Amino acid sequence: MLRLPEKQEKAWLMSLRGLQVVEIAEELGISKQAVSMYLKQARAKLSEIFLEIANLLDLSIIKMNVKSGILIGDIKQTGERVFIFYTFSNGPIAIFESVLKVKKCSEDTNCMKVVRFYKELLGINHDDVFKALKSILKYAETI
Amino acid sequence: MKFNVYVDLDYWLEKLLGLFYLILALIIILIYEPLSVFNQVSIFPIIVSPVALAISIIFVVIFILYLDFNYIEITINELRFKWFKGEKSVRIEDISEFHQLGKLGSMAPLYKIDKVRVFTATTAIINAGIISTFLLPRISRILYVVFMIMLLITIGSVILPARIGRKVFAGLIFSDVGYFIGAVLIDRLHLDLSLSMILILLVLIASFSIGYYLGSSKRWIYDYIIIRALINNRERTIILNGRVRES
Repeated sequence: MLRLPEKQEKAWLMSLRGLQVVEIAEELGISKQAVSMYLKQARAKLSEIFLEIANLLDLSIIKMNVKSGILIGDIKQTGERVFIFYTFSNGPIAIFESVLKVKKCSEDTNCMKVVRFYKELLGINHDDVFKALKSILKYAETI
Repeated sequence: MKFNVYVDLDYWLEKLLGLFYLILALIIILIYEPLSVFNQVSIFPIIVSPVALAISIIFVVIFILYLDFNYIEITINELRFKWFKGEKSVRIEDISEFHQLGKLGSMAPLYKIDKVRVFTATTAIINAGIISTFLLPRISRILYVVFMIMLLITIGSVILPARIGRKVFAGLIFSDVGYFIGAVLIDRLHLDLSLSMILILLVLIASFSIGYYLGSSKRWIYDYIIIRALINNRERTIILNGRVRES
């Protein structure tokens, strides 16, 4: 299963939101040591998940940031760029760069799940989905 | 697998190069002695020459030392690379970031993606600006002003999206060098204005094209791979530079 265990996922999300270990420990009602352990395990598991996805999609990895849950790669067979985002409660979601050209990101797609997750996380105010998506992909490249 | 690439840790070489450019600029300023206008005493050229020589030797030694950090070995569990007299190792599970700079940046600006090269090149440009302040106005003030504008445009090009920005940036750096050489040539050859303009234009087009081509070619300019990982419980940055060739 390409998902983090529940507690690891919660700790990882809070760390992504910029919370310190002490704050996460208070929020989850566990010790600081336990939070550090969850974060370490979450990062190791995310590395595993990303490498598995890269293998499945036949990707050459361009960037991997397990703290932010982002993987960027080129599909070896077509050369197309893919952005993989690990999102809370949905797990990893792939966004193909061509989505910006074909402009298809309707309400029920994985693409929209990524937009919603990052709009909240980064405080993006664009109403236009594709402008928001462009900001998210830009963020993925620079983080 | 063992790869022949140059390894740097925590931007060690970039910091040294930045320092070297700064010292070089300072030496040039001292040689031209702006203060001697007031006190009419000329001491610096005598002191500066041996100091400049000593500093240059130190930096050459450091650079030769850097060339010795020249491999990384990747196994299932860890990365091992040469660092000073020994080796450092990183466990694969401790890697938190991996970036291949040359392929990143279809949307994000160059200065955010390729910090290593932008930093080194920008310090060199600033250094060239300082040095030319003492040289070019003696030839022509207009040539100097145009050169300064060109340097500013070069620095400004780092806000372009990295995919196109790295080619334009390389092209503009080459144009700056070409322009500087062209300006000195015009002065030495005592050409008339129209001929000078044609010569400068040709030099600019040729040098920009060469830089643009080199910036887009992986054959001449090696790519960088940046890895962030925990080494002895401290997060550190490993910078790999070179053409990946297994040995």
